[in-house]
Amino acid sequence: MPIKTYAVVPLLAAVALVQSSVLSQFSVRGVPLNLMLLMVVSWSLLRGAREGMIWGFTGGLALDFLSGAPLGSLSLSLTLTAYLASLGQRTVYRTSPLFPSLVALLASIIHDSVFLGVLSMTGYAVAWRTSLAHVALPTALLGSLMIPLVYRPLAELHRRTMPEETEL
Amino acid sequence: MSRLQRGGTILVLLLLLSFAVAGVVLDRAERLQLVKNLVAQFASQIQEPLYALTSQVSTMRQFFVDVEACRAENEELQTLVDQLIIENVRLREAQIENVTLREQLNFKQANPSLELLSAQVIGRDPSNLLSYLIIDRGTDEGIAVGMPVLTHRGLVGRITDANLHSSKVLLITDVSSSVNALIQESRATGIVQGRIPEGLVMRYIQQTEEVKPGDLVLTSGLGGNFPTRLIIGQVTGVRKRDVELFQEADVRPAVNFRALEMVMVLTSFEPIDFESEQ
Repeated sequence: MPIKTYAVVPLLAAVALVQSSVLSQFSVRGVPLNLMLLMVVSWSLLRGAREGMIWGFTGGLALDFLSGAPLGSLSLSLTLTAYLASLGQRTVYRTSPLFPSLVALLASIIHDSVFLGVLSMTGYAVAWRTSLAHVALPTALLGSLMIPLVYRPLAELHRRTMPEETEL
Repeated sequence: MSRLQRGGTILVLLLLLSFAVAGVVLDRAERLQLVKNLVAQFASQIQEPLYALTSQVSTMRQFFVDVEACRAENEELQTLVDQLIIENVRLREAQIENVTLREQLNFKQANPSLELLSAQVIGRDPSNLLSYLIIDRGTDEGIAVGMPVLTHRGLVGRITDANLHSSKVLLITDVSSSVNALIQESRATGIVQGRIPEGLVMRYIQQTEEVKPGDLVLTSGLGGNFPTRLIIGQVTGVRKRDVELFQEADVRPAVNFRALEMVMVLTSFEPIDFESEQ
């Protein structure tokens, strides 16, 4: 049974709330976990571009409401990241157990760069070098280490909710 | 019952009674000791293991009763322990809240001219690249955009977005935050800006001014965004180069932003919006 879009909304809204109120208080050496990004990247790898982008947009929008950034900036960066991550689905390396970690590492850096770009374009002061070196890179490394914990349950969800093959 | 049957019954009764009486008489005369000993010995052979078995069964039954009682008692004690743990946590939280509220009260009493509204931190910016807080007070409680947010230790930031029952606070440690400031001792002015990783830097301090580590940094009130004399932090280092127009100072914030749970919003302060006035 495929996951309906309306079922995704409460799930990702809950993840956004957890990320804002719970995960922000627990960090590994000052680096917080970007759970939403890991979920979107995992789902994009499992289900491809279309569903990944729906998750990216919905999750990003949920985060936008809780962020001080302009509304739409996180949904834009997450949608774009989801699309780029979904390209990994087409490669021959996708079966490797390390593949999600590598994609998460790159996707996190791309997401933060796009987000900083949007902030910069909307008039926010952005410290590119320090933001990328002290925030984006450690977050990407943490994300690549933690993604198996997110990817495995989502792979199980994917298996259970995989759309039925249509006969030609 | 026929007469014959009744006669037989009475005969049996009399026979048994006579046996009994004979027994009593013979026992009184100690003529039955041998029989009694034999019977007792035989009985004791059976009685001993039977009593032991019964005793074991009884002990076992008591054991199970005790185990059941222990289990019930254990459950009761566990429930009590759980309740005490919850109560303990609640009391500790109440104690921490009490300390925070007392500090806020002291701050309010020390600054009677300031109208302050307590607010609880309910969230932080989900993006790692921005430094915002979400608090549980909004326009319904009198919060407006631009109001300064502080704790008894010093300045936290200002309201950038106010909803009905929640607001977003831009922290002074965010790179897009700028606060006009002065050094308490030398009265040198400058601008305190946020810096990554979490920290502050005071820029645009005249080269001629004397700034040294340990100096207190306060809000100057210039620009009308913040009231005067709120503590921002303490100078930890100074960078002064002859080739540059200004010197810079590293500032350690007075507030521990990671541990923020409660803040105060300065509702009596209205920031001056120069752009709209023009």
